[in-house]
Amino acid sequence: MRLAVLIAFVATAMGRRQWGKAMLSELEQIVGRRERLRFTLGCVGALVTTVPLLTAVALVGGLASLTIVAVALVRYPGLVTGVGTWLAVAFFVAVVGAYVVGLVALGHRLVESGLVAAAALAAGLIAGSWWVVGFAASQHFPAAVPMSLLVLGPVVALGNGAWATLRTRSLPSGLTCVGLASLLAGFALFLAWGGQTVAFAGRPYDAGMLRDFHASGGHDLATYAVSDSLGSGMMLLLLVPLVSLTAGLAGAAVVSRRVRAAE
Amino acid sequence: MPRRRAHSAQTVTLLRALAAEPRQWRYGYDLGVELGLKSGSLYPILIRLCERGLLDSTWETVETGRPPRHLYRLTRDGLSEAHAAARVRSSATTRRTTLGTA
Repeated sequence: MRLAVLIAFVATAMGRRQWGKAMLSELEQIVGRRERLRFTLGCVGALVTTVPLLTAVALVGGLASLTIVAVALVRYPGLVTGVGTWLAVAFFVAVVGAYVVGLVALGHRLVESGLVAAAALAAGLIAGSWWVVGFAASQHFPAAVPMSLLVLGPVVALGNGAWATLRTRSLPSGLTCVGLASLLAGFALFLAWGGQTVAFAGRPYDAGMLRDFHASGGHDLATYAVSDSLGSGMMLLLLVPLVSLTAGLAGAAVVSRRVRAAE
Repeated sequence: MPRRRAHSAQTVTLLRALAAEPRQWRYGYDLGVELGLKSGSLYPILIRLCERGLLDSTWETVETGRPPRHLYRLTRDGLSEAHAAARVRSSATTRRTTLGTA
């Protein structure tokens, strides 16, 4: 029984439930404890080594996100200020879980329409533009060029939705591409943002942050900076896909209507 | 024209076994036992062949009491691939034999 649970669990985690079911039905035919164990371990190995690329990306991304927050909590114990912190962490874990499930489900569908590369490119551009904007803002750097990138993310998402719908002549495929790009962008941005925060103790400390830190009456500047930056990163984890999805859906819907009208 | 990736010896063995009776649906575990392939080798091959459209899979219809098993057989492309793989293998064997006797 436990062997069946192991196969079912790994198959679900790797996005291969049908193959898991196939393996379980074969396991039923096998007699002998040792042979069943050997078969199960082989199946688990097969499921892990043939994991689809996007599933691997989702799992690694999820694990890396959780690791970033765990490392921050261990390295800066001052981040835990009460029950509210743990509620925020629980919410964060739920969001990361939703990201992983969403990426696996959408990726599985998108592979069939051959739009993964387009979604990945759009995600890279969206995440990159948000990162530059965020960096410029943290520097109190009101330069026109980096701040103008604020519009690049939504524009890329809009174009991605329109292009994917036009290419496949299918609104569901366009929406899947938009969804995948939005989630990939959010994940990539959080990994870059959170990773940098933990690696450099929330640096650079600009004048605004120093002023806020002194006003807060805190004792440790690094803890304050990490808390501030990770909070921003978590907000971006929600904001980026939301904005990208909205823009992408608009692009896909407009093109879909035109395609239908032309037909 | 896309370059055809060479199959591993185990994949060729599996393709040949399936090509021997192309209309027959086969169980995964039985194929593994027949060809001496452990599940850790067999399933990655089955998964890859299915994803490349070379293998068809279906669930058997059974009476109640036990779960249905997954069945496999070659698609038309899979059968062509099996024949091509067998030709490549036999010409490689011939070449080796010729070199050995030269």
